[in-house]
Amino acid sequence: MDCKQALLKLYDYVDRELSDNEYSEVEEHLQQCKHCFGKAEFLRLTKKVVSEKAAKEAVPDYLKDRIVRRIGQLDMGARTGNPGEEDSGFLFFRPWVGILSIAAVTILFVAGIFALFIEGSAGVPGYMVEKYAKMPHPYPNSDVTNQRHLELAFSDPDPSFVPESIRNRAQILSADLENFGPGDMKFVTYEHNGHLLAFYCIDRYLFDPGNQLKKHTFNGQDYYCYASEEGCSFVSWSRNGCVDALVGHMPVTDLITYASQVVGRH
Amino acid sequence: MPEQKTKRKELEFQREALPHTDAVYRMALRMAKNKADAEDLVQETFLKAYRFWDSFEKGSNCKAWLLKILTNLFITSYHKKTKEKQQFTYDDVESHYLYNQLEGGGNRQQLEDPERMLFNQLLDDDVKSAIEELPEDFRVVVVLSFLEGFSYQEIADIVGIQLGTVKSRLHRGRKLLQKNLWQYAVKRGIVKEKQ
Repeated sequence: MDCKQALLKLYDYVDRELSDNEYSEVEEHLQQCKHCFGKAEFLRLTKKVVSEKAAKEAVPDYLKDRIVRRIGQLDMGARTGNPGEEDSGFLFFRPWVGILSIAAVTILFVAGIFALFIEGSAGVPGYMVEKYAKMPHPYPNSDVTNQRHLELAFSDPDPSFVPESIRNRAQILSADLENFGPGDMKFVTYEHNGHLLAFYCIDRYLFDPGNQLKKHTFNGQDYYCYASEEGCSFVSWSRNGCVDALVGHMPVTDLITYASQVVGRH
Repeated sequence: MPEQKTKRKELEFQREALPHTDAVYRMALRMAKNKADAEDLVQETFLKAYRFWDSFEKGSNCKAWLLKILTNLFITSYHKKTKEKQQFTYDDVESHYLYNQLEGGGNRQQLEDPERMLFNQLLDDDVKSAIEELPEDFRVVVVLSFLEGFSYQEIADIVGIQLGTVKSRLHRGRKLLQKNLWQYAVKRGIVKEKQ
């Protein structure tokens, strides 16, 4: 084996990906060739140093605890056999829910998703109708009733009006409703008299009770969103007393730009 | 009883999957590049893993399975929001870049054992940044190979790419990593830039 052949196999050699035969051939060459030996040693050293210097972090305890706790919460729903009750109760007592019941619609939907894959029922569960009926309407001028909100929330999603860039992203992630979970996205639309009133997205942020709903005002419009530092879980914006849209999972600034474009098109 | 079954699943998951949190966290850090996103990513990975626990083939490589979930989550949701797609010309770095620089830059004369010297003086953060500056496709395979010690075939399975693609990405990733490390060495004044 000459240097050229040896160098070609050097990476595989260092990564121990050669067959025994090839390995001995390279080894033999390295014993005779100081130049190639130096390179091989250097590659080995690089690998060693990189792994030593970049692999020291241990997961923080609070994150470990959080994971264990969240898994317990997932199970709690499964154990009672009535996950919707459990989930919606736990979410409903958060103060922001009362402020904007569209969030509640979404949360109901999330609870519905739980119900869907745990109980296998496709309609609007009775306990949700009951709970939702008691909630104040977020947009008093709207002619869309709470009941209709609910029905629409549970109807088939039709994201056709959503810009393609967002839609593509959503479709990839929502392909498998059965296995919906944190990290996935699901788009829901609803309409009234043939006019689309709302579109929203539920995603992983909704599963985190620590998230707060925040209001942003832009060009006189209010936008509500669950926001993390960089990303936004979903946003609603209202116009003529109706929710116009909710969009998910993009940086807050992009979202507001996008929202203003859509509102401008009306 | 369903309750017992759930409890058993929970315990089993804690025993099999949770010991890998450090590895999952490390990979998440190198991929997401910041602590907050990394923590999110770790949490989602484990919650998703738990949901799919029944489909995990017991006795197979749990760490690889968790990192596969993490890689998928990262690709489908995280890097899209960071708009990371850099424009990059892949073939502008020579092989053995760092080695050649050290050999040819007059540094050999100055230093007793230039390689060791160089690496000892590089900070942990330099090495982490050097990895994080790699384009994503390369970063994934470099992390899996260098930090977690997976074989080419295991990496192919985790990332969902061909074996040949693993090799070529690792090869290019290595070259770029050497270049990045060199730049940190120059920045720290450990070595002199070749004239």
